[in-house]
Parts: sequence; C-alpha cells; structure tokens
Amino acid sequence: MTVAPAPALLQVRDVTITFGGLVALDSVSFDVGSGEIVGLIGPNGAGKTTMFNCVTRLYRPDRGSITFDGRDLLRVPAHRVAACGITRTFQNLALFPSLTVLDNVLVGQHHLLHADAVSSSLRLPTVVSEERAARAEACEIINYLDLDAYRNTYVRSLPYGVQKRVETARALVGRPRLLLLDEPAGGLNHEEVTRLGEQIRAIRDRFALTVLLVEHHMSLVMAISDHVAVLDFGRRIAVGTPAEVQRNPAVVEAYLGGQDEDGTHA
Amino acid sequence: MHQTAHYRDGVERFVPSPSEAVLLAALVLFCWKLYGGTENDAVAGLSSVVVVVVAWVVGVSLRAALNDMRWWLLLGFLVALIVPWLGANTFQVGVMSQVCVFALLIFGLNVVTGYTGQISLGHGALVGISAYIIAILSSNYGWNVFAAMTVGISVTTAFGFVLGIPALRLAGPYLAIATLAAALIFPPLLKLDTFEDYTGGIQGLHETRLSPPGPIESFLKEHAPSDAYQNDFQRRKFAEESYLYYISLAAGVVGLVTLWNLGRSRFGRAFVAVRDSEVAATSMGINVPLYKVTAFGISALYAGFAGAAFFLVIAFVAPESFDLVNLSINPLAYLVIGGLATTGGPVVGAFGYMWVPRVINKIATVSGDFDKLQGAMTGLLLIVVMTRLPQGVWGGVRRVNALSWQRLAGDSWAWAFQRSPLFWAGLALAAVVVVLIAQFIGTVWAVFALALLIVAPHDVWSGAGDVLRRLNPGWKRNASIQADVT
Amino acid sequence: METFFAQLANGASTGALYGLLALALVFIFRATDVVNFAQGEMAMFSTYLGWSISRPLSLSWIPFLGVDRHLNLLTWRPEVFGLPLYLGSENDGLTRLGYLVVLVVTVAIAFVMGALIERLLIRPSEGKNLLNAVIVTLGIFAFLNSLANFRYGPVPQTYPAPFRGDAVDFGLFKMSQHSLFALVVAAVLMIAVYVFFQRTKLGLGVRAAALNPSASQLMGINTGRMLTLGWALAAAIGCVAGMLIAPALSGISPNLMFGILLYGFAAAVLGGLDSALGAVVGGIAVGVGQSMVVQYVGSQWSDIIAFGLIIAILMVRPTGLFGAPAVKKV
Ligand SMILES: Nc1ncnc2c1ncn2[C@@H]1O[C@H](COP(=O)(O)OP(=O)(O)OP(=O)(O)O)[C@@H](O)[C@H]1O
Ligand SMILES: [Mg+2]
Repeated sequence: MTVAPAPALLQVRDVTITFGGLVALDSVSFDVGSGEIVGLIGPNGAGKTTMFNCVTRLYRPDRGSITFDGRDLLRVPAHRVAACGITRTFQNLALFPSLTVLDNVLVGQHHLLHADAVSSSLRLPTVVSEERAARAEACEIINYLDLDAYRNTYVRSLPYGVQKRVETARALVGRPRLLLLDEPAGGLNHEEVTRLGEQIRAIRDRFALTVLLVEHHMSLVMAISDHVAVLDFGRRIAVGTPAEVQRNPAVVEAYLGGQDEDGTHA
Repeated sequence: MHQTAHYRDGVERFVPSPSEAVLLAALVLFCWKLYGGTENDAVAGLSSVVVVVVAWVVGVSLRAALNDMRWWLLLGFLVALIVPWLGANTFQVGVMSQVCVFALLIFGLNVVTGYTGQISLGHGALVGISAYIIAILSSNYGWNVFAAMTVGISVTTAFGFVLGIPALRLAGPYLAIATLAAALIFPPLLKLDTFEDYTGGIQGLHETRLSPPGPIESFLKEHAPSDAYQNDFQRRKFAEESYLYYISLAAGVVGLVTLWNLGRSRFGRAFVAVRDSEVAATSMGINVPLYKVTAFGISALYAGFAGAAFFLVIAFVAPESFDLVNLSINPLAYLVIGGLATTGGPVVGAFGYMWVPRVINKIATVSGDFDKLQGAMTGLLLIVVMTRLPQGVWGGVRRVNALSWQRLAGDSWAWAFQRSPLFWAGLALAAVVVVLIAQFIGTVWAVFALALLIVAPHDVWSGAGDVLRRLNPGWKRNASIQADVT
Repeated sequence: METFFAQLANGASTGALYGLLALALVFIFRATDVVNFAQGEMAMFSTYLGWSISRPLSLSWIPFLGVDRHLNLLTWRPEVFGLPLYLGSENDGLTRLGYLVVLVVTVAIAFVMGALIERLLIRPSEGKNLLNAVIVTLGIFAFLNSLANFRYGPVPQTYPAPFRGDAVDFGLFKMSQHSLFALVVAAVLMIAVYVFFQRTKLGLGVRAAALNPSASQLMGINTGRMLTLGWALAAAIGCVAGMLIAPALSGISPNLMFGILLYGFAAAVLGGLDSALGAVVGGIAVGVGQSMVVQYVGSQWSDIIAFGLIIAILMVRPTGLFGAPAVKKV
C-alpha cells in the first residue's frame, strides 16, 4: 500500500534576508526530511549561519517561509523555537561561562520544566522532584558525551573542544526533533573528526533526531549526510545526495573559486 | 551552584585543610581565653586540646555528611539566634536588626544585578516607596501595620516591574543611569508641597515602635544579660530591641533561604543565562525580556520587604533616609564586595554595609590622626577588596576553602620565587618609601601608601625596579644570576 | 520675555559646565567603558590643588632668597622693555597670564593624577566584571571627598575667575564674562575632543583599545598606554570644568561636585555616552531645562523634571540623542 510521501520535517522556501545592502540569503529553498542528516555547506560568508539564525528565529527573513512539522516557524517567537523541537549549537560558542557544565546543560532543559517562581523559591516537593528528574537526564547526556569528568567545572576554564561538546549536550538535553549543528568539528584534529562523524550518526539513531549540519570538513559531511545543500553568496547553488553534489560543476566552481582543494580549513 | 571542595579519601580525610586549620587555631585561642582565667595553664591547655579534638571529629563526620556551605549557614544561624546576648548594648542589637533589613535589600539587588546582570541604582526608591506607603497607611489612616505592609510590598513589587521596563531597551551604563534617575526623583517628590499632608514633607513621619506581646516581653526581660541591663527600663529596652531583631532575623532568614532556592532553580539558571548570553538563552527557550522584568519584580519584592522591615525597626521615614548614596549606591557596592551572584555574598555585604563604617569610626576615634578620614578609609577598603578579590569576599572565602596544602605550598612557592628580581627590588623600594612616609609625614599617609602597594598591579613594581636598574646598570648582572638560580 | 532670555543665557552657561564634566565622562567611557563616579571628586580635588598654588607660595625654603619672599602666581606681571606680557588684569591684581599659568600647572597635575589613578587603581580590575571598576571609582570618590574635607575643611574657598568685568549686553539678555568664557572653553574643548577621537591616530588608538583590546594589541597598539591616556585626558578636562565651576558658584568646597556630577551624568547620557558633541549639547539642554523649570514651574520640580526627562528620552532613544545605536551580533 503506498501513501503520498510525508512532507519534509523542515521546509525552507524562498528565504531572503538582507543586511543593509548585503543580500545574505537570496531565495533559498531546501527540505530536511525526518530522520535525515542534511549537510549545509558553502564557502565562508555563504550564509550558512544566517540560515540557522533564520530557522531559530534570531533573525527575521525579509521574504519566504520556514515550516517545521507543518507549523509556520515565522509565527513562532525565538524563545518558543526550542519548545517546538529545534535546538542548536553555535559556531563561535555561546555557552554560559559563569555556570558549571551541569548547569549549562540544565539550562537546555529550561523549556521542559514548569516550576513557577514562588514554588521554586520555596523549593516545594514538586520542584524538588522536577529538578531531580532534570538533573538525572542531564547527567545521562553528560555521561553519554564523556563529560562527566567536568560536570562541576565552570565552562570558561575548559578547552575549546570540550566546550563544543558541552554545547552539543545542552542542545540534546532539550529533547529536540531537529538538531542544528554549526561547525561541530571546528578545532578538532583529523582523527577526532572521524570519531565525530560516527558520534553524530549514533546520536541521530539513539535520540531519533533529524540533523542539519553546517561543516567545512567535506569528508565528514560527505560521509554522514543523506542530502547536502550548497550555498554560495547567499544563493542555493546545488542540492542532492553527496555524490551528486560532488559532481555538480557549480559546486566545484564555487569551491575552487577561492578555496583550497578539499575545502577543509578550520 | 559552586564547586565543592575536594573530599579526600582514607586517613587524609582527617587532615585539616588550610582554612580549617586556621579555624581550629582560632578555636584553640578562644578556649584558652575561656579557661585561662579560672584554671591553671596546664588545665586550660588540655581542655582546649580536648575541645578542639572533639570539634574536629564532629567536623569531619559532618563534612562527609553535609555540603560545606550548608554547614556554615547552619552555624551562622545558630550564632544569629543568640545575637542579643552577644551584643554589649541595645545599640548593637539594633544595628544587627538593620543588618537583616539591608540584607533583604541586598538579596534583591543580587537577583537583578548579580544573577541577571542588570545594574540597578534605583533600589533605594523601591525601599522608600514600601516604607512610605506603610507609614502613611498606618499613621495617617490608622491601618493595622501588617495590612499596611501587605499593600506596601505589593505596590512596591508592581513598581519593580515598572522599573524593569527600561531594562528591556537599555544596556549597561544607560540602564544604570536611568535607574539612578529614578532614585534621584524619589526624595524631591516626597518633599513636594502637594504631597506634604501625606508624606510629612522634609520632617517625614514618625511612628511608635512595635512592642513585643506580653509573654515574649516578660521572657526576654527575665533572661536579659544581668550585667549589661541592670534596671527595669534597660531590660524593657532590651526586650523591645531583641523582639524587633528576631522579627527582622526571621525575615532575613526567609529571604536568604528563598534566594538560595531561587538561585539553584530554573529561574536562577535562566537569570545567569540571560546575563551571560542573551542569544544562547533565547535559543534555549528563555524569554529574555520576560526574565529581565521578572528579575526586577522579584528584586522589588525583596526591596519591599526591606522597606517594611525598615519601617518596623527604625519607625521613622524621611526623604533623607532614602538618599542616593546610602540606599542605592552603597548597598550595590557592598553587594559587589560581598560577592555577586552568590548566596553568602549578600550576607557578607549586609554585614559590611552596617559594620564597616562603624568599625572605621571606632578606629578613627581611637587615633586622632584618622578622625576626618573615615570616608577615605572606606574608599580604600572598597578599592583594595575590588582589586585583590575580584569575586568579592565570598569568592575569596570559597577559594581559600578549596585550597589544599599542596596548592598552598605550590602557590606560595610560585609567588615568592617565580617573580623577577625586578619585582622584589621595586617592592622593596616602595616599602622604603612607605616607611619614610610613616616616619616623616604621618601614619595615615603611610596607610594610604601601603594600600596603594597592595592594590597596584604587580608589573608596576617591576617597572619601579626597572627604574632602579637604569640608575645602577651593574645591578642587572646580579639579577640575572639570581634568576638563573630559581 | 526678558526673564525668558535671561534664564536661557543663565541656563546655557551652567549647562556648558555640566557639559564639560560630561565631556570628561564621555572620554573615560570611550576609553575604558567605565562610568566614572569619581569624576566630580577628581575635578574638585584638582581645583583645590589649583587653589593651593594660586595662594601666595612661601619661598622661604629656597636658600639666599630672604626669609619672607612669597610667590603669587596669580598676580604675576612680567614685562619686557616696559611692554606688559600679562594680558590684562583685574582690580584685585589678578593677571590673565597668572591665571593661565595656574590653569596649565593644575591641568598638568590633574593629567598625571588621572594617569596614576588608571594605572594603579583601575587597571587591576580591568577586563573583569565591569561593575568592579565602577565600584573602584566609587572608592576613589569616597577617598578624595574625605581627603579634601580633611585637608581643606568643609568651608567653601573663593576661587578666582579670570574675567570679572561688567556683564556683556546682548540686547535680549546679559551674560557675565565668566559665563561667556565658560561657554567658549566648553565649545573649544568639545571640538578638540571630537578632533582627537575622529581625526588623530592617537584618538583612533584609544577608541580601538576600548572597542577590542585583543585585536588592537595585535595591530601593535599599546592598549594599556591608550587607556592610561584616556583617563589622564579625562582628568585634565574635568579639572578645567572644576576650575570654571568653582567661581560660578559660591567657591570650591569638598561636597560641591557630586550634585553637579549627577547633572553631568544626565548630560552625558542625554547626549549619548560615546558622543563628545552630545555631551556638551546634553549639558546645555540640562542647564537650560533646569533654569526654565526653576523659573516657570518651581525649584522643587527641577530635579524631578530633569531626571524624569532623562528616563523618558532614554526610553525613546536607548543610547541617547547622539549615541551610536548598539549593535548586536550573533
Ligand atoms: N547581523 C548581521 N549584520 C550584518 N551582516 C551580517 C549579519 N549576520 C551575517 N551577516 C553577513 O552575512 C553574510 C553571511 O554570513 P554567515 O555568518 O551566515 O556566513 P557563513 O556561511 O556562516 O560563513 P562561515 O563559514 O565563515 O561561518 C556575511 O557576509 C556576514 O557578514
Ligand atoms: Mg558560519
């Protein structure tokens, strides 16, 4: 029995955004199907991070639409996006430096907790049990990402790579259905990048997620993505399976235009 | 929300850490003094040792069982309970009541400035609004004090939300000045002719102080320390002050516990998240504007309680009571000195706020030289604490508390031997200058110079040493030999 | 109408003085991002230093000069071949040259004082919590205030103005020579500060050091020196403000400046904490507004309306009238 193919989980349609005179995104459209890992690639300044910011509603696109699970995201305020099931990491780390790793991860659960100010300040039994459950879940993810050694350390004193993992933990603990990863491999060496690839797949399977991944490490993106969308100067120049994209002359042109051969640069 | 000190295993668990060693030494001294007067030295020494050993065994078992912070808070609470009997006179008890009053205000400031990072210089006005509403309702309209308090605190909280609205649009210094403006508007408003009938104008409003109910009064009178309070009048005064003290203490403890709970709940985390990164906070589902205003509201609730307690304890309100420096700037300064965004910091801050000027005053009257320089001493203290303890006193306590013997040894080794000889030369030069100042100009000025010595960044002294080297080129060779040795 | 213009002129000249203080605040804010609560006291203290050196200085400590020789800088009358070099004088013997010498010496002392304060007291709390540096300035405030009380006592000391002749008549209103002088100085300093920040390499360095210390360091800017310079120049400007404010009011006293500093804050914020033009315009606006309110509404209302307006204006323009809008980047 065949049914009509389910609509994609995230649908980006004709999204355009300009800063002053600069067209950062120019009618960009692509889909992210449920359960997929989709790579979003492009040279520096192509607009990848801007796309993330539009999806998480930190920016408001001038035109276009973004639909998540049938819901018009542009009508959702930025602080509700997490509750809709979208969480993210940041390219240049946006952790809370004066909180410990555990507290950083717990902030990721903010939208799942419901204690109000009065019962929180009296620490009523409901608050205690809610906090305990949240803590247990956070610790589980902290352990899963090998962060237990740092649980009570302030993040500002951690090495860059560890901080990146804390960001991932913080995003995962919010029980997202769509996880946006902005250059998770930044600052990692070759071996670690390979391990990261496996880890992203494992995360996808274990938490039943969909992943949208921005990355400059072509080998990583090509190895784990189901689909790849390519941006260049704000325009989407290609979309398809990794193999298709690699053969696309426009993509080769964009990357050879100013970048080194495999486009890897930290 | 803080790193607990490392717990060691096995026998090591019974070795006191440096901070604990200091506390134990203090305990030995205390016992020595306690017994020393009545017994002979051998007995006094023995009893001191016994007390300390018992204290230590209990301490170690408790250390394993309790988070160290709670242990200190409990101890502090027990001491707070007997404060009326520790104080020498009712004045000191009164000051302790005010410590509790201003602790409430500083707790509130901690929510908005410490956790959420919004500088508010307008909290004096909030305390004033609360105290004035209560005063007007109870003295002009004859309301019951507690009914008046309910109204006063609610209205103040509402005002707090209003004061929070600028926080949505203004950042950093602009917000500070906008709230400062709010604090500056408040006293002249009270003095306006239009409102004089209600506010009493410049004279303000007096109210009779709350007196304790019969049984409590007779209990307190009966148990007043007999050497300090001899006649019935003094005992009644003691009962009155103590009663107010316990009321403010209760309010302060409730404030402290709620602040602590709030700090480790989703609200505390959200407030800090807003302070650290608004963008990340938003993406984690935190409604940043809502939380900013909420922080102001909660903080105003504390300020409202502070105003109510202020009215109870002082029973007098006048425009001058709520002036900018005393009620808006100084509490914030002492919050930062105590330690922002901590639970213990505001308590330390409230103590400092009430006691530092008094202690300095005391020193000043002892030594004539310091008489007119109390302000300068307070200023120096602010500067020294801020530059040498950037996390505030509480942060310093935590750091010392987490220190192990190895760390202490390593750090002092590094401090003493891994500095350039230039630093030591410069420091020596500066020290000589200080001694010369003490000798020829005056002690006060030497104290100032000494403070400068403590405060100034260490590279300054290396710079001074550098000057010395230029004066005497041959000196450099010696220095480098020394540097090789270390 | 007459009173209106008189109040306008009056307000403008007080406002120019607020503006000068605001200019110093702006300077420090641009250089170190710190709101300097000690600015008023720094100005007050250096004005006192100026007052000290403008008194007859005993020279008895110099050998062979005779015991009772005194140097009075203010009445210094050098002449070359009978030509007076002292640029005119007032009836009490004060000469313009004398005043200028005192001014220059005092400003130089203030400059050094500002540099020392930054280097010794502010530097250790830099790069940490911004509030720490602000609390340090509060400490300096308390320190200088008490020191001045100790050294000079609470009684106001008269401080001379260089121009004290008849008020200048502009037809619609009259303005005292000192007020006019203050206006001119404020305008000149404002332009100088503007040129310094916008047109000189040094000013660019100071701005860069405040904006992005690490990047400026990489570009070879000695950021530490820039910050010290910022404080030093601010102290110098504040000193000029103090020396002009004292004669306009009842003289110099230790508690004179805090109230004026609050108006200086208002002026600086009104104009935008990062704008030199804004500081002076803001100052004049606050001064004029204040004297209008005193004249037409009642002096009780002056603070209420002044600071109420500040809040209102900030709500509409969050970085002041002339301030650059804050940019947020993700
Ligand atoms: N808030 C903003 N204001 C002005 N310009 C912006 C803003 N955000 C992004 N841009 C511009 O939009 C363009 C796209 O930036 P974006 O950060 O999305 O690129 P990117 O693809 O993520 O690049 P990279 O690989 O370097 O991270 C850049 O030219 C950038 O300068
Ligand atoms: Mg990017």
